[in-house]
Amino acid sequence: MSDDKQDPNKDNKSEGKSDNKAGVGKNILEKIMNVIREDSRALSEAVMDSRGTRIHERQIEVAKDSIKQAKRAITDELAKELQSSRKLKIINERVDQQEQRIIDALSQDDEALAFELATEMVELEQDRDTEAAILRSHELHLGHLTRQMEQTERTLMELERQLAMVQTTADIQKATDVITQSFAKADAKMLSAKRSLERIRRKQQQIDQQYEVDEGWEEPKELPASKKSIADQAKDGAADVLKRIIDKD
Amino acid sequence: MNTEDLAIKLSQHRTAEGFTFDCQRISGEVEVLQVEMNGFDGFPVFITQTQFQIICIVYLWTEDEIKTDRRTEMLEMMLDTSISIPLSSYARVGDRYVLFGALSVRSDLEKVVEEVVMLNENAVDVVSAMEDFLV
Repeated sequence: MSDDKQDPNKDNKSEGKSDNKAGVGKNILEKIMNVIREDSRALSEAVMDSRGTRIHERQIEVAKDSIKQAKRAITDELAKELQSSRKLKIINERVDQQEQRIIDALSQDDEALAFELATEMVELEQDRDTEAAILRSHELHLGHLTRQMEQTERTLMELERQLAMVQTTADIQKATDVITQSFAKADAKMLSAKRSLERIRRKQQQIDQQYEVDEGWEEPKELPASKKSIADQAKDGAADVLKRIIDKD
Repeated sequence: MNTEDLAIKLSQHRTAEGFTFDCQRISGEVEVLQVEMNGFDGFPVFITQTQFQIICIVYLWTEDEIKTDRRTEMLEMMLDTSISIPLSSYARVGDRYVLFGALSVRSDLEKVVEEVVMLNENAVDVVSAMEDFLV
């Protein structure tokens, strides 16, 4: 376990080597194929038990942990690099200033001062070289950590893809079982493809017939105007009303 | 978007072509959504979600429904035509042949709707085209 933590890629690399050149992705698919060939319904359990899911899940945890650690190390290293870079900048500025002082001393023919300044300059240059070496070492380490993290990210992505393949296969089998059971509970059978097609065709035929009826339907034309005008009709009606009231009396 | 959210959103959706969706949840070891398209008489589409994918499935036929003497021809035909079917592919789960489409779990509703409609239309075409291979 401790070995795994130090190198999360180790298991995956060795697994890849021992399987085939096509890579670990094919290996997982081969495992799935084997389980399907054996006609096992318990795919997830079978793959888990045969060095599959469970190991991948552990590897994924290790890889995630390793990425977390790498990110922390990169943050620390970035801080150190920045600090070293600032130090070097200050030393370089001091070197430039010292150089100017030496030029000034020489221009004033003050050889003793120039020599003294040059001696100090040697120390400054030694400091600068030391700091530059430290900075280079931080840069190298940072590059190494970044590459390591990227590699682990790639491993993680690959492991998750493989795990997804196994889980999807198992989930779809489970979903099919759930659907079949649901139909069985409802006392209904999934229709055969041909019967479904017949049903669809019948329905389509009905829809087509309905379209035909709809197309044959015409908007009602304007009703023929009554020979009597509305005013005449009202007069006739009024006469009827009067007659009815008189008869009542 | 989980199965419950998808069911609510799909039930409230109406496509530009006027299709609407009846959704029914089937509970079990994994959550499955049964979706029927109103306005198109086809097959029920079953939707299930895995870690990375939303998988939409139409169950086509079982091994029992295939004419034994034409099985190889049918399988070859399925392989030959699979790439021509937009957004859907063939698969077999147990003894059931299926047509399915897989989407990223990050897909929005429009993409799921497009998949369900397309899958249903494809399924009718497939069963119709493969009818001669079936008893």
